[in-house]
Amino acid sequence: MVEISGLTKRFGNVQALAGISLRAEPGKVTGLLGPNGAGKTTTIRILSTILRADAGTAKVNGFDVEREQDKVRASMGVVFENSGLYRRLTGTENVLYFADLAGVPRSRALKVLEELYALLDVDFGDRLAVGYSRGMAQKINLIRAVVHDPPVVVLDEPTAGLDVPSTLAVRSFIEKQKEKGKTVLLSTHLMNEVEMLCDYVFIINKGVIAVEGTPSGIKRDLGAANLEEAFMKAVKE
Amino acid sequence: MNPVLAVLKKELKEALRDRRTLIMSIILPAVLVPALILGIFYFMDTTERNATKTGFTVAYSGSAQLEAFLVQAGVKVEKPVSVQDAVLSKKADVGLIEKVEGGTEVVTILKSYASGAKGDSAAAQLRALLEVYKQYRIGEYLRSKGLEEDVFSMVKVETASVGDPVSFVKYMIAYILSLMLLAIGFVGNVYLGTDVGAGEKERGTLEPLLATPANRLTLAVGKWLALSTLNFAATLITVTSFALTYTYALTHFSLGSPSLGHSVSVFEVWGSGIWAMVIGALLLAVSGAALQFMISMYSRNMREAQLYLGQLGMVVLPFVFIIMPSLTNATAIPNWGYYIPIINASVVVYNVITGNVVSSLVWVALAMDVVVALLLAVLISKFMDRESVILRS
Repeated sequence: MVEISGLTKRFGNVQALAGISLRAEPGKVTGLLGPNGAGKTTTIRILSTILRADAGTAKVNGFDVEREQDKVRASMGVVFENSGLYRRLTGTENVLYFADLAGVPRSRALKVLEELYALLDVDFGDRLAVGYSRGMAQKINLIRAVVHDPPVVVLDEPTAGLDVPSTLAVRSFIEKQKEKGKTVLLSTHLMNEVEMLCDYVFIINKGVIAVEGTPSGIKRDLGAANLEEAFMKAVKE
Repeated sequence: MNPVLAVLKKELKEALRDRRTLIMSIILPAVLVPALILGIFYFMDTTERNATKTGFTVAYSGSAQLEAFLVQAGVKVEKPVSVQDAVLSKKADVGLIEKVEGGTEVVTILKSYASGAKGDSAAAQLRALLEVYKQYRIGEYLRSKGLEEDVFSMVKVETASVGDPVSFVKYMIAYILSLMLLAIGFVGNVYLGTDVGAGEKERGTLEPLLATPANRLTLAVGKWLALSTLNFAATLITVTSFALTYTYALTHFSLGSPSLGHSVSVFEVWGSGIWAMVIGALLLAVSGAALQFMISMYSRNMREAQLYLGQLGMVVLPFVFIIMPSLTNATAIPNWGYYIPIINASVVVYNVITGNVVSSLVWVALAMDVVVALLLAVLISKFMDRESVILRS
């Protein structure tokens, strides 16, 4: 569960967030849409304790991001938009490093690895990450983020720049997390992905929630033929 | 696994897989430093021996008496049209012009700025010969006046070195090593320094790392320990390689000084200096690594970090100036030096090798540096919480 209430954040003269409130439920994929600079990444950074909010509250799995940072981080796995890997480590070593940082016993970490390697079709885990394609790296990023089996998974544009097979693999990963009953918060620009994966959507514009609802509900409420049209209407208002 | 150990292990593993780190930290110091030192000493020794063995050529203009004296002394004498031209064109190693001005014989040695070591050596030998010639002429004059020439032996001035010549070697080693340790140990391996902070930003691994359950202090201490370990190892390899080769060279090449040209074991020279060097390298590694880490963390990218870290050597310059009077006067560095981080590494090394160490203060020095480094590690963990640092890219 992710609960955000009245979150504000300012960078100098720029008001990145102006009182955002949202809720993401377990067992559902919640979409976070918005144009570039709308505040999606800032929201994710506050949730993952990288940034501190100026005002408002945010809770991850019931833990406050301001006061219970260690518990918040233990409860969530994040894949940032430009997450990288340690290039002189193998994919498996990258994952096991994060497992060690999370205090996951080696046997459990290896079990997670085995399961997710099979799901994402990873057969390059023992190769150094320096030679990975973007798709290969993103698969390891996803596994690394959830190696400690967190109840909340936050993904910031996880399919950006990926080829079709890798995109499909990422989508199957998201569906698997949902099946497991996890709270998935997905930030994306791809409307077809939203229609396919998201149970509920928040469209952010200029630091506030412009529209929220199910994908079909948003289309209906805004009188749009498709989600792209609905999105454009939402961010123009 | 303990998260601090996990960070330490990962950083060491990555560093040891990096070819640049291996070349800069291990191969260059282990191979290039000895080759360089032995090469320099060999060149100096050969030059010195050649100058003594082969003699030198003088372009001469003056009396037949002085010419006969020089020839008798084994000097090859040329009589060109222009002494100056002969020296400038290197047909002669040195020039000599004898003139009579106002009843006084004036003898001028001409040396070209471009004559090099051979010209310098020739000029020095010629000056020594002319001293003998001067005494010979004065003696001749005294005899013509019916006076005894033993007036020259009324006052004899001699210089004698006392004690063990190895003391000189120890002093030289202590002097150079204490400065070298400051320069290398504190600056550390710049590439490693850039990687632990700026490298995380550039690769896009910093945010995922900060989003793990490990807290900031754990990450900071792990990275600091890794950087300290690598800096310590690299410094130790470099200075050990230097010190052993330099000691060998000082005791195996005579360089014109027979008292030094005897073979002694490097351990005879060093004594307890080896453990002093280990402690000194450790002292510098812990404080230098903390500062490197902070700078690297603050930098936008690896290029910026390399630029800043490249200037880190400037930080030690004021410390060098503080200890320089003790080094040049060959006196013990005062005890207050043990209490000042960075400088205390040099103090330990210098005072131990020269036999002036206060053992209890070595532990004080170590404690001081560890406390300072830990404070810096806490500061870095706070640093890793600052948006202006994390998002500075």
